[in-house]
Amino acid sequence: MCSVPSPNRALLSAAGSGKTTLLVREALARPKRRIAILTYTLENLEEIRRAFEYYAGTVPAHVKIYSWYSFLLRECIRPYQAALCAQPRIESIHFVQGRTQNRAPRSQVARHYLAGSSVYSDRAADFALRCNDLTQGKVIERLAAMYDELYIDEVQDLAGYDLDLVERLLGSRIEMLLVGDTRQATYATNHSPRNQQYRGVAMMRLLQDWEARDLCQVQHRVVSHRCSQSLCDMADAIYPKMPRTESGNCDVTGHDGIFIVTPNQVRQYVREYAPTVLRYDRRERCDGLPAVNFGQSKGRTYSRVLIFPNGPLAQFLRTADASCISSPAKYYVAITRARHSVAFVLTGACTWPGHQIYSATPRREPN
Amino acid sequence: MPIERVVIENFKAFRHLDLSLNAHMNLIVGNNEVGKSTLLEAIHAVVTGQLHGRSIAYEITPYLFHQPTVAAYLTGLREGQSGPPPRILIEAYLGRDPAVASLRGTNNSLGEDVAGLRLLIELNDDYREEFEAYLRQYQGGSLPVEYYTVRWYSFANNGVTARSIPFDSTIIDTAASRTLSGADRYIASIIDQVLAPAQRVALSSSFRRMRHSFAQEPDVATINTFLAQSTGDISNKCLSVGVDTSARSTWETSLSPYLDELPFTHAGKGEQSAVKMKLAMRAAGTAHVLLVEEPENHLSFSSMAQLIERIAALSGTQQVVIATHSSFVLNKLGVDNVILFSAQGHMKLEQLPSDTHDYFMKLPGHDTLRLILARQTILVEGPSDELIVQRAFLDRYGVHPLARGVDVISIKSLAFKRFLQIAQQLSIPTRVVTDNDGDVATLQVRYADFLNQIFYDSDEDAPSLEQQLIKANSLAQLNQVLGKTFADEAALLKFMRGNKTDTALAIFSSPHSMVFPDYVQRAIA
Repeated sequence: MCSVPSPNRALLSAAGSGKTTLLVREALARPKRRIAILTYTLENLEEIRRAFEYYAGTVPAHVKIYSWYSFLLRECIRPYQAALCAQPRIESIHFVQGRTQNRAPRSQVARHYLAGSSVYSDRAADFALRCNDLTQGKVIERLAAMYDELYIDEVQDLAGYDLDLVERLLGSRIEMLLVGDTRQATYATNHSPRNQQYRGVAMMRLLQDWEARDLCQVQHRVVSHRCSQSLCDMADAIYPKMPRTESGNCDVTGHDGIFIVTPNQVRQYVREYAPTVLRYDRRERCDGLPAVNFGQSKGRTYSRVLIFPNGPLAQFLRTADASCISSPAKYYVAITRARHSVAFVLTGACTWPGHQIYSATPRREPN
Repeated sequence: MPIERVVIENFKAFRHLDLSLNAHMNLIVGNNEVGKSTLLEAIHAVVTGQLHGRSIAYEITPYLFHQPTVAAYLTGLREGQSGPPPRILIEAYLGRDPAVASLRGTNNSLGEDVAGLRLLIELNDDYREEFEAYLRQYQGGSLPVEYYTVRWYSFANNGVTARSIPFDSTIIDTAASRTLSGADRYIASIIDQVLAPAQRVALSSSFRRMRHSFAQEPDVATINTFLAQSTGDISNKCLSVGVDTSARSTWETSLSPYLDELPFTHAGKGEQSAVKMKLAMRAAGTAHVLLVEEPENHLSFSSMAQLIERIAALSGTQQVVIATHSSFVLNKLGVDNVILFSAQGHMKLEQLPSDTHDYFMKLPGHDTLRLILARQTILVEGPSDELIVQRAFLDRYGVHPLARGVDVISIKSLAFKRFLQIAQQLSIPTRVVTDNDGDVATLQVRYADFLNQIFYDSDEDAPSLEQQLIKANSLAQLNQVLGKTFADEAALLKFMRGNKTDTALAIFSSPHSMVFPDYVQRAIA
């Protein structure tokens, strides 16, 4: 049997490979197509908007950017909500921490899906899919009338029924482009038990399954334009099963690679290199320096970072054993933020190969 | 993508209206007070969110609601029944063009999967308690619209704004005399629609520069220096004069359009109307509906003829809805585009049986219009019958029929049935006064559907009006009325038959009274 390969693409990229830039350039290169770009976090939405402003001055008329839930609500739930539940008008998303604690079965539509006139976030895509099924596919049909192409950035953030919706879209005549990095699954659109098995790097299995069913082609981009090679190597180490990352950054600044800084040299180091200080969470004191949490740093690029490691990360540095880190996404994000150097504040020996010990340049005494 | 259908509930004159529109030309014809203007207002409101040139939120009054519905609701409340509070609904159905797919969904009162817009003016649920408390306290009052809110959604159930809707509407109301401060904001907004974005920016920025340079004028600067010296006398702050540079003061409120050096508002009404209409036509694109209220107002016949030509040409590429009283407009723009409005409902000519439709297509617009605009009609089969019925009515009521809203229309007897059909569609009470032509049975078969609207005498020996008149009156009476001296009825009849109209005119204008046949009496009763 000869079949045309699916035009849909799932593009998995290493951190710093320029995912957002790629999306924006693809969209700008197709001015005749009507394109929607979706992403989960508002920060990333802003990032995309800024990229458009950088390359084209503004978001062009043929492109519409949505946050994931705004897309769900405006384009998937409301238009055909009457098929499942005509009243009340679904006003908003009720963002659930964890899972909706509600035993109402799916047959009790109002109680199962709604808190007043808001739809529970972990059940929103399910609501949309049921509207689609009850109307013989009108939800998808309408989207196909509105858009020729649909791009999803940070696809690894999608969870629960959201993935079922994506699968449905892959089967439609809309051309899909999914972009993400399964290593950076620091956020999740929801915590529904549905599709739990595909969280984090396991999403790869789902993508491969889609590829096997000819719903999309999976491609990898392994070049990081951001991080120097020694940073890529360390980040790769905490995801040993993923493809190796190549650095496209050959800049030499005189202070490049992985550094260990002893606590009493922190002030001196900060004065000398002005790094951005990163921490796992706010329990880390960071010597009173202004710091950014790992999760918040996602998507950002810094010249240099200084990390105050928490227990598991310190353990990893001492043993070079990646199994110390059980949920590596945030650590991966932290290590891949810098272009030139990552320094760790650590007491005692580090066994990570190729690290350098920072020693303060002696202060020049005033003459 | 034209508006295919409009659904209105509880808005002004409409309890419920479900109207299909033609893609190009729509002529709304009907009496005053049946909702022609309201229809245009409603279409404009649902497309632009504006009513009377302002955002609808500022224009909610109890009078926007269908009064009988509100009264029924309030009465019901007093009698202890509860029900949903009255709500205004206006929906515009835009079809399935992919260009408006973003407006598509099934959130409309018909449950259809099409693109469209809906405007709701309904009780804000946050105020339900206050609303109910108010109604309990002031039982005789009107609807407390302060607790109402405007919701403006697409059929996809998403909120819309005038900018987000890929469809526009222009309303041209030649009758309205708007006295707004500064320029006529209405025409300013139309000019705004005509200008390209770059032109708009150029206009408003040069206006801002002009305001700024005013302060730099030497005389103004001198005055401001003088005022600054008076600091302390008036206020402790430095006083100066300048042009308002706040965002509020835009060119629309300060600049005035000129026609040949004359401020627009000083030009003649007719010229104003024509300019407004031509400008609006310029602004119009395909995704646009042009709403025109009574284009015949303030225009000379020749200007109107020109304007109508332009509107007709324009309707080839976009949708036009015109409310009119003018049979000239009607004839020029095609009777088949007519949507007839009456207090009881509306209809299109195409809803008539096809032979009746064809008949009216050939008829001069005037007769059709006369029927449509009448509150009640009496149809007669010729000018002499018309005069007799007129006189009978005058004798009985002391006034002419038109004074009571009864229009006596003389048509060929073959057309009775067609007029009865159209009148039935419009629920216009209509009676027919006819001769029995010596064959009552045929008459009864022909008008089987309209038997209680047909008035005739069943005496087949008196088949015509003249014979009926002789039957009802003595020879002496008729001789007196006609100013004749016929010796017998045969001679009288011969004369009357030979001079039908003269006879009727003599009867109509005679100072002497006479007896009218019974079936005429019944018809005017």
